[in-house]
Amino acid sequence: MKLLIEQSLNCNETEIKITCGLMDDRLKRLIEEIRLYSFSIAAKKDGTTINVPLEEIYYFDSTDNQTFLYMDNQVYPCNKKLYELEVHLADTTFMRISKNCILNTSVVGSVRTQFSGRLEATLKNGEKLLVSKHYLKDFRDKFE
Amino acid sequence: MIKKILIITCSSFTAIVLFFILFSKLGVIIPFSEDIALQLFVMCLIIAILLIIVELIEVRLDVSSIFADALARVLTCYFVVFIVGSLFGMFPFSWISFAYITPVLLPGFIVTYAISYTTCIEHSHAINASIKRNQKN
Repeated sequence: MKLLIEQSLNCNETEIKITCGLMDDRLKRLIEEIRLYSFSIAAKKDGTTINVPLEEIYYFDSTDNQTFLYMDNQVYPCNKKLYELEVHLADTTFMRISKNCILNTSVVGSVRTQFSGRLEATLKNGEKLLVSKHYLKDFRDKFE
Repeated sequence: MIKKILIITCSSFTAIVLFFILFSKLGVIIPFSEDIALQLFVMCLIIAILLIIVELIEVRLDVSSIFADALARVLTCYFVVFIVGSLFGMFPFSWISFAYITPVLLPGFIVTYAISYTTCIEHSHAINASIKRNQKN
């Protein structure tokens, strides 16, 4: 794989262009990582709107019709619904793991099987989330 | 989904047939026959399909209780075995039939659950190995 970097002070917006033949798993993962570092999500903090980079987000959780964005040790309300985020975050490291939660799989530190057959994912900050059986196959595929 | 249904059907069918033969040899239940083998396969297939539906309902209702999950699964198994077994004439349509069903159904359920649990543990080991690999890179 060739990596070309063209740096110019005249460039206003960074552009990443990938030229490839057949797209393999490694390339797909690379694209997921690029997307992760390219986008941000708007969240509310003290009445103002802030843009949170995707790579800093651990997961999204929906409670009583309100979506919350969870970071390492901060939580912010978010305007988007989970189904909107699911579409927006397609082809990134984020994925739905239960009815109420979308997880950034790149912050998973380890997993453990529960007796019920569900997976308990321990995040890098020590938080634990449950992966529903319905999403187990997709979850496994993210780590293959 | 079809693969999952087939795995549940085949593993539960194997366990149920073994327990059926064991208990029929002990004289607890009726003797094993080719017809019964087919009837047991139909039961296992219907149970596997219904268990997938139960799983989908649990996701929709966000059920996280292990007890509720296990209860829903056991009740699904009893319901199918009771209805299909009565239709095939394996046992009478009455409460006494539970005495015939339980010795085969419960151990069969536990064995199938254990196989499924072991598979899940293998998957979690594979995921942990992948996470460690990615952290090294």
